[in-house]
Amino acid sequence: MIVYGIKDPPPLYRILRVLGTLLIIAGIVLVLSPLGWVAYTAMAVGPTQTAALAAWERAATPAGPAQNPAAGMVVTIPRLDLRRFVPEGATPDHLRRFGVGRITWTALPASPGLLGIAGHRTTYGAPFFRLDTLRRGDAIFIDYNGRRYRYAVMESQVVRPEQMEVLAAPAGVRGIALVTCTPAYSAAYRLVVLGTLRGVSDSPAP
Amino acid sequence: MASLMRGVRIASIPLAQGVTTFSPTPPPPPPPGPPILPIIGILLPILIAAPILVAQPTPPPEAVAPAPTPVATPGVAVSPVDPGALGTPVTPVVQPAARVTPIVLPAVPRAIATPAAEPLAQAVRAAPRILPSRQVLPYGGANLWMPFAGGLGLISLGMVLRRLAGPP
Repeated sequence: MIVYGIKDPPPLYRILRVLGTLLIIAGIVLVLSPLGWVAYTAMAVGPTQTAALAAWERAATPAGPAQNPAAGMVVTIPRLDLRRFVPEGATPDHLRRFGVGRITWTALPASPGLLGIAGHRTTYGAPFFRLDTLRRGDAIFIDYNGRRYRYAVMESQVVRPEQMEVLAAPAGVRGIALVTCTPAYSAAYRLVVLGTLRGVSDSPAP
Repeated sequence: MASLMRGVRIASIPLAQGVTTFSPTPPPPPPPGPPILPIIGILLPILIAAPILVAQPTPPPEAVAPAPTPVATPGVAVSPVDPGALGTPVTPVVQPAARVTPIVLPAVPRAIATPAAEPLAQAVRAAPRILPSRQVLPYGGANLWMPFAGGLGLISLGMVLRRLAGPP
């Protein structure tokens, strides 16, 4: 008959037990760290994005936001219930502060080519978390320089990070490309949602 | 009927034998350490739903601009703005050559964008665009699965060590 708790276990076993407990605690902390990182970055980017969007709309006078001192544009995607201020430059700093950014070497809305906008998928407010749910025909609005550009989603592509040719539009084509990481919680590939320009109108008053 | 009764009687014999021969030995002690499957079952949905839970609030409805009135633009087929509409009829897309729009370099503030600078901006923008050779598409995500998988590995290793150490 085995009776537990009468004899103390050998020191090696006690060390193993303590070490195992420490590893379990460290593992739980490590497992929870992505959750904390997502929450922390969302709280960090939220006020900055909200303030930038408010400043952009305040500057959008009836004469148009051409006099807007803050260079940038606003992207609105109704299906995603998304409206974000897009600063010039998808630099790491801009992506950390605003969650999104315009890829500077891509075309502007008023010029031929693809307008490239990159955004975070899971962190920093996760503006493009549901980007993969966009379907063909979904509308994307860009408010820029006093005009509203309406794009329609055409297709989605999953490419490798170095496949930048996906942002090189054929001659004469005016479109938009929304870029984010995929799959979620990984930066192995890029999800690119491509759309074409459908119309241009006066930018609505804020 | 007779065969049915005989079947019941025969089936009851092993049950009675099983009861009489039930071993009184105590059940084995529960395995040490927390079960890993419930931990994964709890933490994984939380991690997946985290971006939704902590997503930024959507601007209030009054902050969202109303749908604009389409304005005809030469060379561009304009269709009424219909946010979220599926299956919008495809209109002829773009006639880029017919549309002349002043182009502004993004880095130049509007206050110092003099008229003399506009042709330069147009010339720069009109030049053949050469893609950077050693650049990647902007980093828009994070490899959050790495610490998650590493944490699960540590938990598993810790449980194995505690199991090797035996019961307390």
